[in-house]
Amino acid sequence: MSEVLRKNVPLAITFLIGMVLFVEWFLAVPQIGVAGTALRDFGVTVSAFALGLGAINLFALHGGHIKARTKNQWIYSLALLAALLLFIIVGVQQGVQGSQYKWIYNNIIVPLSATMYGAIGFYIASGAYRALRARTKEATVLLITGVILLLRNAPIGPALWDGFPIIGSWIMDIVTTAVYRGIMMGSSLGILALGIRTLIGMERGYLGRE
Amino acid sequence: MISTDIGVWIAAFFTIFIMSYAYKDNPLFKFAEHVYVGAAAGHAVVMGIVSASTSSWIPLTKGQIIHIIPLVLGLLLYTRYHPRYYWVSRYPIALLVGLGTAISIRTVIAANFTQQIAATIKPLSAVPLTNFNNLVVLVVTVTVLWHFLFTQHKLATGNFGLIGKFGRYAMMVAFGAAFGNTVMTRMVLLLGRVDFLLFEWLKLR
Amino acid sequence: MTKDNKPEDIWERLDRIPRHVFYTLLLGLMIVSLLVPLGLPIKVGAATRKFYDIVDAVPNDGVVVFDISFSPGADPELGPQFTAILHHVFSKPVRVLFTVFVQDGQMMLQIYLDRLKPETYGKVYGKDWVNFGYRAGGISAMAELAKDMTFFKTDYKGTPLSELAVMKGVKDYRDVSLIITVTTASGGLSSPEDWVQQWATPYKTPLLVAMLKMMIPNTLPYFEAGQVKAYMGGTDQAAEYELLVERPGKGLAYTDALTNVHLLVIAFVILGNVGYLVRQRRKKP
Repeated sequence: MSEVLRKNVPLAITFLIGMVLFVEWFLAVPQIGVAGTALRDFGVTVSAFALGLGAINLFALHGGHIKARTKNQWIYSLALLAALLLFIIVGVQQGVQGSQYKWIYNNIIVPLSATMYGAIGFYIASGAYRALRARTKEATVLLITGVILLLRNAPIGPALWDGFPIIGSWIMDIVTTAVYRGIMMGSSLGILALGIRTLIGMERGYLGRE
Repeated sequence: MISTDIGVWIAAFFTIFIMSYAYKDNPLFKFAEHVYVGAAAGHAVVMGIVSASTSSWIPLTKGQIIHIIPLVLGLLLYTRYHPRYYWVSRYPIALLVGLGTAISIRTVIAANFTQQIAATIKPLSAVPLTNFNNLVVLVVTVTVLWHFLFTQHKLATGNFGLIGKFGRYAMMVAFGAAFGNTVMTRMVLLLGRVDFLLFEWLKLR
Repeated sequence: MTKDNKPEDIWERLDRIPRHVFYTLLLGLMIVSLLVPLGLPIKVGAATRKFYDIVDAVPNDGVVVFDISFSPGADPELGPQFTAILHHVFSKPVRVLFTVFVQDGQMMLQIYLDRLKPETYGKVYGKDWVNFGYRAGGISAMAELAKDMTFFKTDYKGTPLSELAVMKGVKDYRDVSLIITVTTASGGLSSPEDWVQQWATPYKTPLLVAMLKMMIPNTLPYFEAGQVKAYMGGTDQAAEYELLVERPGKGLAYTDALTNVHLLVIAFVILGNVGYLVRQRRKKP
């Protein structure tokens, strides 16, 4: 009984929900449509609750560092939890439309997020120098196309030579489209297989620990 | 004239702290990194509360009793931290997994297969260049798919292997193109921060 | 020094330039380019023109679903695109329904609405536009929205959608003239692929995608198959759109700096290859 409740019932729920949604999609059964709508409605709320899980993990991990006064770490953990609590307290008090919440969002999250992604620009530049080398035939092909596209994308490219935008566009619109189409179809087969295996209970990783 | 807005100064310092990692890992970067993780997680919690409130809590307070089900299921997610009753969290997870999986795979066949196959096999046109381009798309798509036939040894080696090899070269062309696009994206993102430092913080224009 | 203790010459040193040299050159060039713009001309490309024409063709009182799915990390590239498209859409007599399926989208939308001020276009909240607010659930919510445009029941403030004039006659996908998504989202949330799978393919709703330049290759197959009607990727296209809507912004401002930076990266690549090839030649007996 315990095994049934712990493992089999959740797998059955996944399967049943999947079947309801498939029947809803491929057959016009009004009652199933109502069930599908209700499931999606529930899914929105449950997904919202899932957003809090990360915060709990952070509390557990970094709270542990602060308690143990982990060397070279606990002070950063303190900063992390302070930022986390600041946003939760101000957000719950004011809502996201509040002027103070907007202020902390614009002056903390916006610059940090933007710079985290922006700093990758440095590594792309040094990466281009180190990795884009004509070591093999394939690497040479990659290098030449990379340079053509760089010249096509640079606003000055067309001014240097009319051919850059023409060749660059052909590479993008014909070759790149076809390659990514092939890759997409291949990966979609994988997604389909994994999805079916999940729904029929062969993939159980999402259940977590035994 | 440099900005006098304290918010802009905070943003500028955070920007410089993160950028400093490009030269060396240092305590200022670590501090900024940890603040970012904490702030992002806090914001996620707030948005979760907003979403759950508008989706279920407010309708429940207005008399729609059925919304108690998703609220209870959502709370059950947190039983995953209980040493004995962690398995109860599998119920809401089963709902999410079933929903997400079914919604994505029921549409993938039409969107990623039939429509894509239809777009690959095109009728002949009066324009020779169009015919050439369509032929290239067909050949490249097929050879790229052929390249990934790892489990069929006979199709991946010998003369058949040449088909996959052509696909590999086509992929190198595409990845070179993708690299060119990636450079632009990353450079613009960095440019945006430099722009902020120069014109919103230092007010050089 | 080489392995046999001979001093390295400049050609061999080209193979091993320290990364800090690149970082400093890159930063320096960006600063100079932004401070001293050259004002190089740009031409409007066919892809941007197509995007513009489709937005322009939305009929009066048409309904545009405008999805915001990007975070501050993508703001320098998507912000100019979003500003130009939003300016265009608000300039037309159409109804706009803002959807948000990613956590940061709500705040990014608010930032840009505070900047653009819909009231300056004569737009009234609730009558001409509505903000559904952030909804978790990703494609689940997106899929249901196609079947029932009042699925969210309330706007971001909690006002019932039934009380808002903008939702009059808007029941499902058939009442939507156009979807525009400004996105960096990954699959399952609000990526271009999700909109293609949940709306454009089953219901044939016209879909326009504004995204990062590096996302274009993944979207091209859908564009070529007609599932995505037009796309906009990158600051260069943002600059072109700003020209079309006659509202210069960051897109145009970054053009010169982008040119210089691209040329610098090409120079790095050439340097690296010259140094590498010289080393390889010298290794051969």
